[in-house]
Amino acid sequence: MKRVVVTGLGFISSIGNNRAAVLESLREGRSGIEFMPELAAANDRVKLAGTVKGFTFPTADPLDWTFPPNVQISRAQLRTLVPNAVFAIAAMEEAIRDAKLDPALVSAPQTGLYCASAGSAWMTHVAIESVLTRGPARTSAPTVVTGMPNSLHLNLTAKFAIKGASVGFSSACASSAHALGSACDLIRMGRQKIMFVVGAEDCHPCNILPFASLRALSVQTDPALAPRPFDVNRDGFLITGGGTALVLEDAEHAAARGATVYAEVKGWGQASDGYDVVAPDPTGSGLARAMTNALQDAGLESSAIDYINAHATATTAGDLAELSALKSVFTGEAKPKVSSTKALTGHGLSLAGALEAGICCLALREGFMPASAKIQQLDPACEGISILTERCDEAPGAVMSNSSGFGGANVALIFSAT
Amino acid sequence: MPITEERKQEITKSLKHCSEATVAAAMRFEETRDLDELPAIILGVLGRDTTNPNAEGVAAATDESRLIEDIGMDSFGMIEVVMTAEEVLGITVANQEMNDIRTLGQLKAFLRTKLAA
Repeated sequence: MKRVVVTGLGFISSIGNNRAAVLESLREGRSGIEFMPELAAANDRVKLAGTVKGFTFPTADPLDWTFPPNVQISRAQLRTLVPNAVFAIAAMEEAIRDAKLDPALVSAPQTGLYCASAGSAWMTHVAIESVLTRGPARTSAPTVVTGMPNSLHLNLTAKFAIKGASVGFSSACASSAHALGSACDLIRMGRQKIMFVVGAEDCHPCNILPFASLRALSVQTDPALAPRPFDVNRDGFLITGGGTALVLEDAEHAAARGATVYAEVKGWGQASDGYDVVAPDPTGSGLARAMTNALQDAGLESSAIDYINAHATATTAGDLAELSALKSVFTGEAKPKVSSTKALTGHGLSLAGALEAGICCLALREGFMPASAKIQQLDPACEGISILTERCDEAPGAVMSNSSGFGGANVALIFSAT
Repeated sequence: MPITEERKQEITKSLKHCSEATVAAAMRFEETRDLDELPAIILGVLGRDTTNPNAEGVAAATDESRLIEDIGMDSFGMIEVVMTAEEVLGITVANQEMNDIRTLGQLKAFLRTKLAA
């Protein structure tokens, strides 16, 4: 089986729009959560979100959208885009530059793309409203594309002329972790040399407010206090958008072209709760099995894991289930350090797995472990788990990134320093 | 007949991102139904909806210019042009009517015939 390494990263996120900015925010504990006026205006409960700075989407007409000057998208390409695809394109371009992939290698039969987003709820809403109220003849043709749940997938494959495998994954908040694990398998089996893994989501009231209906979101108004995973007074998660792109590559292929390596993808595992549509199994058994499967796949003992980037979104049910899962898997003397970077970024939904995988790669390459920010009073349920309330400057050797989604889908990814 | 404020807004909305000259030509056409205003409207809309990054390519187009190969229209662009023509010129275009239109000259002639009918 071939070994897989990460050779490129790109970020558009609430905590920075490039690798350097994301790294600095992680090191300094800088949060991307802020008051979001259009969200606050649209509801009476949730006011905060992990906003993406430097991009504006004032109307559903892509020609009205604005980007940072380094993001170049032609007018023709813009017509079929949705906000999450704009974020993803910018992140992909950074990852391609970072991995030093020339255009021929990006658009090669041995290069594929697995991506994940939940679609643009906003653009889908606009498309459906237009065909129903204005009629099909008065509705712009690209709304067929912008209204599709896999609009990210079809825009990215066309924009980057992807010739290899391409799939859009949809398993709620585990989506881009599933995409990464599955992409890793393709390279291991020798079916592709390079796989782009991309997660992206809008940050718009249309994809935020349904979670407020579920009463899953924090109603805090102070960005310094939410979201607070592992804090006894946590009151729910906050949503973020953006895009993260990773370049996964056959280790031999990467070595042959002299690529710089962030980390090795050691293995991954998945398992489902089989329990409820939204609530996690309180015992965390599904996530525990995903972690055990990942360790087995990586050929590692649980004691080999130095750091875990937890899924922990700051819902009581989710955090407690994950703590329970961690306690059942990490039973040895040596305990991994654990943090949830969602306190800084917000919860990226389908983006979360890729974003946190990218964060793990930065942690391995730069030799530190990011803190679980904003904790005022650690939940006593964390006893026995080494929650990092401060950044740790020890270099981790192996790290795990957890993702859990509605429906009880769980994924654990393991990366190691090379 | 003077144009109503509502109709002015409809035309302006349909021609969003077109030049002021294009919008002005469309307003004059709405008032006078003068078919000589058509070329300016058509070129303005093609210029907006083409995927050709060279806008001069549209301005320099002749009646022989092919809409796809020379001017840079694509499937989405053509549908936008048809929708805009329906809204601004007040016509209805059937799907099959577009099939034989390959050049700028054919597009102009088609719209003239439609409007004269």
